[in-house]
Amino acid sequence: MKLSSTPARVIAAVLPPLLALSACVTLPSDPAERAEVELINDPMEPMNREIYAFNTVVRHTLEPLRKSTIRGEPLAPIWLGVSNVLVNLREPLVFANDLAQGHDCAAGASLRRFMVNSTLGIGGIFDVAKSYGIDAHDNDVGRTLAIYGLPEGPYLMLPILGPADLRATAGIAAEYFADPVDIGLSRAGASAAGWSIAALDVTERNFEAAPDLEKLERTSLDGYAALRSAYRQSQTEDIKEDNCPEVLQTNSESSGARTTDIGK
Amino acid sequence: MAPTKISKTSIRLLGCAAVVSLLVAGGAVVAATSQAAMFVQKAATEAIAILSNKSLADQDRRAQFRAAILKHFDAPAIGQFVVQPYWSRASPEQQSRFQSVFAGTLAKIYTDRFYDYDGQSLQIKSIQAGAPGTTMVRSTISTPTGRNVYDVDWIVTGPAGREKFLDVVIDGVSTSTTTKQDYGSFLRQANGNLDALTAALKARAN
Repeated sequence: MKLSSTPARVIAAVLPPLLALSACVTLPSDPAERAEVELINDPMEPMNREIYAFNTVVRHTLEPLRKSTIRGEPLAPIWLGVSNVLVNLREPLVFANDLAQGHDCAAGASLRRFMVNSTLGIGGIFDVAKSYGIDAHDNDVGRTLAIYGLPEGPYLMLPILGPADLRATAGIAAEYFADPVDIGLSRAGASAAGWSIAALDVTERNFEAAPDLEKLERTSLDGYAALRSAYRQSQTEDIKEDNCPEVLQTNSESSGARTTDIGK
Repeated sequence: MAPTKISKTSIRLLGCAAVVSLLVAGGAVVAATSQAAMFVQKAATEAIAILSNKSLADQDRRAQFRAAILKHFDAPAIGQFVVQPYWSRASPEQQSRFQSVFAGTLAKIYTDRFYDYDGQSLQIKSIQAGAPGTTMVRSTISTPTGRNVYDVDWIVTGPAGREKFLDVVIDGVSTSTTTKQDYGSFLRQANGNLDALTAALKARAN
């Protein structure tokens, strides 16, 4: 589950009192269990579980609304347009992080996407760049900090925003000061627009993650532990990605791959 | 992404198979890894046949899909992995009770994971050696519109002609590792009692 840059204000307001009230996990005496718990690195598990329970209630409450935005439903075309605009507004920050991480190809892809979709895509409503083979990719300051060697730190469950770690949370705080779109809106005296975009952005990310979270809940005994595991693994994988689209790669591989259509 | 660990028994068996493969000819190692890709293709073809059989009721289709999962996945090895270190502390009777319930749970996990992949395309990208005795077959699964593309790595073990899946990694998230940490959390709270986990899985299935 990816985190938005803009709701840093939410975190700044909520995190300090939560940390003050947090209870820490007790380490088991058994050496093998103790090693596992230390590896998981979730010292604030009791508080994190409370927040997870809250987030789950919010997700279930919004489920009817989310279902009205999926393909085939009346709100789907509108939501697709909104979602495309939000993804387009993330591109400047994605571009900056791609550059900072030395991923020139991915940075080029982000820049092309922003330029094409902002113009031909009418302010980002239509994802024209996708038709040219340049799909959206995500990137953030948390990932940049990871590539620069900052360890992830303890696991955190953030209200509404979902799973994170201390490094990712620091990334969000940094983005609060550095998001080009936020800076532009503040300078134009449109901070309220910034909050609206933030709220929509968080909603869009939650809607996108909801089906996977629901599957995880259905197939696990401890949904919290399963989500924590999935989050940590996906973070490790995301850091390895260079996000260079095939159409922009200089030496395309001739895959000779076989395709099997499932269910046709 | 580190491939999933496997049992010592599987390592010994596969160690022998690997030595024989290397002795036959220089191309034998390539042939062995291509067998893994062929196995993935064959399993995907079988999944296609089940998912596209619209003449069956949904319940029956799911039952057939679950049976295919049990045929192609090494449930005993996965079961042992997901409850370590508690497996070695449990009695043979506790282990047996757990394995008989876990097989059904495993089938449900993967049925839930793949059942709505109807209409999507699987494309094998590459094959590489995984942990000792395993092969990682890297693929992508994409929706008909191409809107969503998932990176799916299949961890295959077993001698040629008798391959089994040990794990499926979707976008970097290993199903076996996630299940292990899920059950680990439960078992820590249950003082390592494998019977408690077995009972919880049984109650979940009902």
